[in-house]
Amino acid sequence: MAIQKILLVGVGGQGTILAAKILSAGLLEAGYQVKMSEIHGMSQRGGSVSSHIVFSEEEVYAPSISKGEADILVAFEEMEANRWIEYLKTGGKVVINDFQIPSIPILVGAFEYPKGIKEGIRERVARSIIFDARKIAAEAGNERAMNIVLLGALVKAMNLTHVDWEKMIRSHVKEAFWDVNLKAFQKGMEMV
Amino acid sequence: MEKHFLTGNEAVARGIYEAGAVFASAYPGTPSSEILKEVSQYQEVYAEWATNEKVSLEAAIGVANGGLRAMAAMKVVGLNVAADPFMSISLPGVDGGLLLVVCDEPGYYSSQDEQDNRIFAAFSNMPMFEPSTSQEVIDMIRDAYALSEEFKTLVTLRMTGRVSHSKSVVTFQNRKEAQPVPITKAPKVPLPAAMVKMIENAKERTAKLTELSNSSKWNKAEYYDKKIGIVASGLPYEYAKEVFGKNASYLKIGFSYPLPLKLIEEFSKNVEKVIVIEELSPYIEDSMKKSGIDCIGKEAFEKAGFDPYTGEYSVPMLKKTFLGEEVPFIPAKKEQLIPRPPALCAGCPHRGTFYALKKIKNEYDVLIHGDIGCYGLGAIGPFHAVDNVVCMGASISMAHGSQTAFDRAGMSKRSIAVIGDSTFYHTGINSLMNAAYNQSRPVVCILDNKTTAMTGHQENPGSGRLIGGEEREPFELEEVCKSFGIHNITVVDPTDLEECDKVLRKALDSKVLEVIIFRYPCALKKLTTQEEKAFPKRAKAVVNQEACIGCKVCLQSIGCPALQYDETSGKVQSNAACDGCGICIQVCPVGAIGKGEK
Repeated sequence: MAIQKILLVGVGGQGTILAAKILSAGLLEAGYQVKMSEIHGMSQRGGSVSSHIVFSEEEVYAPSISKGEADILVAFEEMEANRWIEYLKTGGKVVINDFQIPSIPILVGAFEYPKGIKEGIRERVARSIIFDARKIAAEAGNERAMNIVLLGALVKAMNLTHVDWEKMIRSHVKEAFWDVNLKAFQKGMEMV
Repeated sequence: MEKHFLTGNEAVARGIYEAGAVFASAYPGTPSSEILKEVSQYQEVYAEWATNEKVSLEAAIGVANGGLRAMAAMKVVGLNVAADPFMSISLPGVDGGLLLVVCDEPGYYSSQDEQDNRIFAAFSNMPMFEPSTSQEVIDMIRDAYALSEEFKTLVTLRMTGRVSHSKSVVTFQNRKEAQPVPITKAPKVPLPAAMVKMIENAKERTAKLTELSNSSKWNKAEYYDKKIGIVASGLPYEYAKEVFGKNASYLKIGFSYPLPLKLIEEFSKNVEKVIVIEELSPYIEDSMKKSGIDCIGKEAFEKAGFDPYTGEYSVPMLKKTFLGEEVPFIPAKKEQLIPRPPALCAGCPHRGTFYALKKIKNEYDVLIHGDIGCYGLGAIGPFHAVDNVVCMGASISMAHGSQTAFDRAGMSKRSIAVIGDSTFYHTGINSLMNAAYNQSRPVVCILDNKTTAMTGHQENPGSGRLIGGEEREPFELEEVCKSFGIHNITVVDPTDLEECDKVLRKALDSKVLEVIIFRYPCALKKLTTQEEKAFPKRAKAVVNQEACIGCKVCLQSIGCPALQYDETSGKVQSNAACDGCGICIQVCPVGAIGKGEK
């Protein structure tokens, strides 16, 4: 099997790192070779963040993903989808959370939040999956489970449903949040 | 045997634990910061945050001189601070196992410089290992300690940020307690009379290490197709394997000082052409060329349009350079590419300090010397309140130098230093002592947020806790400054803008050295018991939607992520991120912002 590369991008505090942890734990449990890489230097201060996961049945080498390499890009925030779209492989899939977090230059009124990002990507990427994960997480019981909704969509889009994700979610989130997160995951899968 | 998924940094902690180290010391710095916190989870290894990298390495040297195993860890430029003990330990050497972990950062995500510390190994004639995966980190550390004790020398494990922060699978082994090494009788004192022998020993050591490097399991040839032979180290080896697979042969260099030149020469004879793939400096390439071993190196990347001396390598970069294959991608739409720069957090006390400094900068002729930390963000919008930054602790020494020169030249220009508490204890303290004793008069602003915030809230002498979380009495900055004979020390709450302005103006008009301590804990810090009493939770800001005129003065002057402009209503609103610092209340020109709930 060819090496598969998954790129999760978002804004500090959105839970991309937890989603990446659950994802890599699930892939390892299922017997894949996995590497994962993160850049989190200034993320706590509202910067753009990314988690890279590469896996295969055979050996994997580079732990990081570069331009044109990702089999799937999951953008937890709309503007970040455009920033990272260059990392998607031609023919790759993209999952975009229809959710906006204005950056400081927008908050201070120097720019407007750009319009037409998701539409522009849909035109150029045949396999685009775009939905409001916050709304779905709220329906599941807590909008903070947005990351798990997106994880569900990613798992379905990558045909990784054979992994025991329920077990992985249980081992990574507090018991009080199991129900919400399992529901969020299920609803995310249904979006694809 | 238990399998785990660890980052390179977590693997360092595991590695020294398994190898029987008893002492670990570090000063935090990306990409090395997580190492020591991980070490502190192993009770068998004592861990402490040192005030700086020189101190951490010297403490580790002390342990090794006592016959036990120790580690010091630091970021790329940390080795510059520790360069004195590092270079000086080469000749006298140590008895016990001594490991230095240094994390370089191709791509300079959080460093002011991309220096390649492999050159430091060659400079000091002390051995160096370079891992590519987390398992190699653990296995190399085991070997590094054995080598250190056998050759009585410091051994460096050089990682890059990507190795530090990427996870791969490792197998745990049990800890093996290291037996204390008997201490050599002859004193290790580099007096001229003893130096001759030390230099001779070091030469002999290098010769023996070179032999070992040529036969080390960490320098290993793998033969597949012999048309191309690749010499690579660290992560570039992984990139090469992914790109070439079995269409090339490899010589992976894991024991990179002394370089195994004999082995490289033999490898080069066995393949048709040799390519060297290494990030940053042409360390391997230059040595090969100097030894007359023909190879293709940096020039191939340059021909393909890359600058191979900076940044990280990647799979597409190798594909384009060596296979002529462009990896196509969908270009981002430029007009939709709005920057997302890091910003001071909501409730960050530095916001008030920089607001006040910016105001001063507009009115006074000042030169503002900054330093390393979150407050580096004061140099960018909306504050633009810092003129230059060099390295840890430099703000105070620079302000001392420039103020002295301005005064001697009869200029009225004033110098201001802006430094955080952790950076002050790191090296700023020396600079302040120098300024005080030599009677210069810069205005020294210490931004005391009671933690080392930038790198993830590590402890420092003013934070009131030790690495394990236990509280202890913090040092008081006022007392430290007083002990240098400084009389004008003012403590101010940086979230009180009027007071900050008053204090700064008074200091600028002064004829003597002024220290202003802007004190408020970092908004993200877990407060100590003492701090919880001194800094109670504050009520969040609320924007009165009827009173707000949508002028955006608050947004443009303080850039707080807890305030945002609402396009539909044309008004500013506050959000849940608000920490209640109250700075926006003070800058609103129409009094539209007030206090809400706690």
